[in-house]
Amino acid sequence: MIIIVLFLYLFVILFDFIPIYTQLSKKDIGIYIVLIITALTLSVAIEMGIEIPSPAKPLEGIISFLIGEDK
Amino acid sequence: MEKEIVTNKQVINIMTMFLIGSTLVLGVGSDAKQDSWIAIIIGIGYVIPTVLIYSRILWLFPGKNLFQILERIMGKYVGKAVSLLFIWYAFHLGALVTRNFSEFINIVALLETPPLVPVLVLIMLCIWGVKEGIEVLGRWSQFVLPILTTILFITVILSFPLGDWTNIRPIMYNNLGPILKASYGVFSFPFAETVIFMMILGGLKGQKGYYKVYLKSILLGGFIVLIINLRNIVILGYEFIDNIYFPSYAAVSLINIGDFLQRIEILVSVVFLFAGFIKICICLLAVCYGAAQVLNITEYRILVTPIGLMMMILSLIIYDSMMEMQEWAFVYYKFYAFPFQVILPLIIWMVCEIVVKQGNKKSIAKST
Repeated sequence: MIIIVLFLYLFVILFDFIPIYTQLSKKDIGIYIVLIITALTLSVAIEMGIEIPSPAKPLEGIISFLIGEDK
Repeated sequence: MEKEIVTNKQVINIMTMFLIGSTLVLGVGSDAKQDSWIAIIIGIGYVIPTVLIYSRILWLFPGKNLFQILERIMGKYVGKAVSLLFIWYAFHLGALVTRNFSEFINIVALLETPPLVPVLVLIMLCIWGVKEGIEVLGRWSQFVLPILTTILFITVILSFPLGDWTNIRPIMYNNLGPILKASYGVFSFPFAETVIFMMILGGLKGQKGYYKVYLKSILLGGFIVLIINLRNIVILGYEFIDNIYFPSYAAVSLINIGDFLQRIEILVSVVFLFAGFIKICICLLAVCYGAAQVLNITEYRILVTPIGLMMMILSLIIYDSMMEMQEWAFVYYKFYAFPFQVILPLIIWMVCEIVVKQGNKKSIAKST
């Protein structure tokens, strides 16, 4: 699966980023690269079986605290 | 940002598909048992004043979307901070809907496939759709919605022989309490989710269009949800609905006309996926508009792919199981969504009115 994920990101960079990067400003390129690297890191981590904490749990905690109901 | 213009009709189509998106898959109002159809009607009643507020905010600043309005009325920094909250809501909602559909596909069709595969295909399509822009989505939904509703109503007609009307009786047996509770659930999921449209409806033709678009789509979408919900209760009964994950799918799978016309649930699954596609696209579009506005990027399209991929990742990590998803959707979601759907729009509306009034006073003072 990791190979598939890596191919996906290669595909994205080849077909989404390379054709347009000459028209982008430095700031745009920076934002794009930061977002893609974050996404790539997280995707590879998921496929390697590393558990990434889900935001649903803390939100559930806050909501239960606020509505005073422990479900 | 170049302006994309959509007609009122196209937005009504998009919004109707958005409303029926994941609602038909998961079903709504199960707290009210056999009276869930009453809960839906009350839920529509609740949502009408809310969408009037949404329309009023857009009406006061024609041609601007929510993020632009926020920066205008609250200033650069506070406006951006509030925008971030809305961006998070749209992003989270998109991930939730993606997860709903990936679970749906995984449970009813592709049991052994890793969840990444259906999600990836869905998100890739959505990224493509959003890159094409809201105009293309509008035209697409104008073409697809009639087909979709026809299929849904054909399944309703075909399931008539299976109906057992005693399933909806006794009406109001459990008093009004559970019905009101369920109607609040129906209000937050799916009707008040239309707050997302405030983030994308910058370029609508005609200023009065906002009211018309919101009300018509709520009524149309509400009608479809009501009919399908009634069909599900009449065919399956609420005890059975409580025990299954996807009531509409189960109800349609029972249709069997003369041993010839059967197994048409696959057709309905496709319908669900079409509507879900639009819902995910709209959420992604809202996030991209917001992110472009907050980061001062002129062209939102460059953000679509990375944000789409991030949404895919969130949808994969957000729940451990289908049960957790169900619990979140029916227990926590309504409380979680309330600030985004009601409190923040209410505050924004009040600030908008004050700003507009002061602006009018200033312009009158200048002219005299």
